[in-house]
Amino acid sequence: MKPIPTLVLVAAIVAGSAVQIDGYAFTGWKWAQARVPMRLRLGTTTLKPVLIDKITTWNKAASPALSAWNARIKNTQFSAGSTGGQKAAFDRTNYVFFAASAYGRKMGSNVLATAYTWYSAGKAVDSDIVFNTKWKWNSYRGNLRRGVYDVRRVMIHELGHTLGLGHSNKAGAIMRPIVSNQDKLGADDIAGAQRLYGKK
Amino acid sequence: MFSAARFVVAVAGIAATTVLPLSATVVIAPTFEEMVRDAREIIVVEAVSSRAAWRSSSQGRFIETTVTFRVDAVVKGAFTRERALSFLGGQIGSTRLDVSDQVQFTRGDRDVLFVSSAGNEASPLVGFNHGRFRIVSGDVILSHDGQPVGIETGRSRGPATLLEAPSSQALSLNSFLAHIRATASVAGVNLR
Repeated sequence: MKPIPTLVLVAAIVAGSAVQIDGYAFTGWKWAQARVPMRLRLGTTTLKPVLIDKITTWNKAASPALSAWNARIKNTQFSAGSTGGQKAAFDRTNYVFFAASAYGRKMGSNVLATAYTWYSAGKAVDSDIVFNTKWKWNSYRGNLRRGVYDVRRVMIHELGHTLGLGHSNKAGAIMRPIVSNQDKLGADDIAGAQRLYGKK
Repeated sequence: MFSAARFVVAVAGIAATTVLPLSATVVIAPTFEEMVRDAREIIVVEAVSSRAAWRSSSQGRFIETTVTFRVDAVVKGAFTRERALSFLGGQIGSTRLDVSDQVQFTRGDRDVLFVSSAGNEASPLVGFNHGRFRIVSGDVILSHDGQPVGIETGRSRGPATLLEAPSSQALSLNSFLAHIRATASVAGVNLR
């Protein structure tokens, strides 16, 4: 039997076994810098018709997700930009965009969105968020609507992964693994993020 | 990664207060019948080795981890003694690419894997991570995220539904394999 290389075993243990502490969980990384720029490349073109919540562009629909986290954490803040490319790549630039694949691999027909995060020695250096074009997207508050997914609540969830949060088992957490009627941060999400970045 | 739930809970025979739908999922969960139908292979395996490597695509370099499994039993597909599957993400040196909710294997892990026929996806499993069922001590079946898997009882028509269940009602490996075969039979899926 061929042994699994030590580094891979360690990686699997560290990354595969998110540390579960009464609800929120950690992925094993955090950002060291005070500012994490996210380049929103979802779209700046005025949509016709406008989205369900009357927002006119995809970027405007998603950007409140950044401020939702920023309002709760102290030592690191997201900032938004819309310039640059549109790719998941290890380039120390964080992109958010629609696509069906990343790194030459299809996301999979069951996947809504994915955060691809590069890190080293527990420090995140690059995190790209990709929304799967297979699904129908919009922007709305409140209960889930059948067959159309709210870009903002999914963005809040994926940014949680970017920050270093895993999934939570607490009711009312946006970091629960299933998309639900929860459309904003819950107490458990905030507690987890504040463990990593301090309380604002 | 975020998901939506598509499992319908038809609770019968197991107390509703202790049962959750198998929707604690990171992706839009396929039904069990879809998983049986869409899997190119359903295999009972043990992870024997794993190796991460740099790959290149038009979007630049990335890390992919190939896990080699010893195949202990084949439920669907052609017989094979060993199977290697590649998953996007992994670690080389101190550098790691994490793909949210990607499954992770360590040597000695025993699983029932539903291998997708899609190809070239971030995960080779049906339903991303839903295609992994863990076999733990006592040959008990857990879902990919460690929840005991039970089966509804008392259903008069169609294949029974899988449910998250209390540990005391978790399926054994043999019962789980029987359920796969029963589901295939009802759905008209050829397991060869």
